Amino acid sequence: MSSDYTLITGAASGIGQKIAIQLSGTNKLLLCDRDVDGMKSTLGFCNDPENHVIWEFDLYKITDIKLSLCEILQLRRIFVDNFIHSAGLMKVMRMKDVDYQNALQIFNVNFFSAVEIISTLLKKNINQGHLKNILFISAILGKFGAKGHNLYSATKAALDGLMKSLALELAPEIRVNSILPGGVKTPMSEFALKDPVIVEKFKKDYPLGLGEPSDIANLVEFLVSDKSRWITGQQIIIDGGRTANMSQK
Amino acid sequence: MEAFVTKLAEILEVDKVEMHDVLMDFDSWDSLTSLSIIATIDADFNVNISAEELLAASTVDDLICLIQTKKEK
Repeated sequence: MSSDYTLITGAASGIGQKIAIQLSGTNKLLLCDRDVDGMKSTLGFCNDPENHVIWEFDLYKITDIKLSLCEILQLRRIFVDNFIHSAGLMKVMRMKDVDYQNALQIFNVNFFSAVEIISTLLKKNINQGHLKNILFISAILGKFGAKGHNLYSATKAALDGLMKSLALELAPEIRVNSILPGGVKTPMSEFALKDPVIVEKFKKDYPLGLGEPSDIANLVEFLVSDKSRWITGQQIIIDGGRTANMSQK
Repeated sequence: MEAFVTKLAEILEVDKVEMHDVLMDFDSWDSLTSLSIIATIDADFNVNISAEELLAASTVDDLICLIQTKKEK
């Protein structure tokens, strides 16, 4: 096991939680979320909970990220080699209801927080060049559209744009990739999945059915390992065939 | 409920809604508008209403009754 830590944002629930549990046997983890009880629950499912560190932080507080991250790294005397950005807000709204304030909220959590974290982890005096891997949990909605997902799509497209340029800027020391999941059964999608009409539609849209958080965690495990050493700058779609599906509905 | 009726008028982009108004008759009614109403009901009352249930509730009054019935459960 590496002495360095894997930083996972959004680690209290859904995909982030599953990634943490799956990597906990092979990696030391620095778990980040605003929901400290959720993170404790994640830790409860992890291998060797004493190996891992909790960083309670609300990524909406964008201007405090650098200071708070520096503090926890210095206090614990740890370095980060993998950064997995899984935190994300989803808001479905009509464009006419969008304003700068709600746009800023979702962009802070989904996009700007990653910018602040990466910029901090790249500083030699803070992380001493330990960073080796950056992985964004983006979404197929960053590449394709859906009614009402205006801001959410924009944040994921922003992450993917950043990913491609960073892959070039930071090579060959650091690999940077995005995972673009389709519909996965998580607390984020729970609201929609309570509607039987939507569930029926998903059945038609997804040739392999809806995904489980473990489907995404399996891909994450591969992408942070040396087995994927020649992969960088990619948007990797994992969606049960959803975006390949042009069948008549 | 008064606050909800005001919010409903905002979503439907009219000055005021009446209890007997039929939801689908509003000019701004579409699938996204119905989604906004469902999200508002979930946020304000912690009540989940499906798109089908919303469509079945014809008038503003029907919708309020539906929310109250679901809230009592």
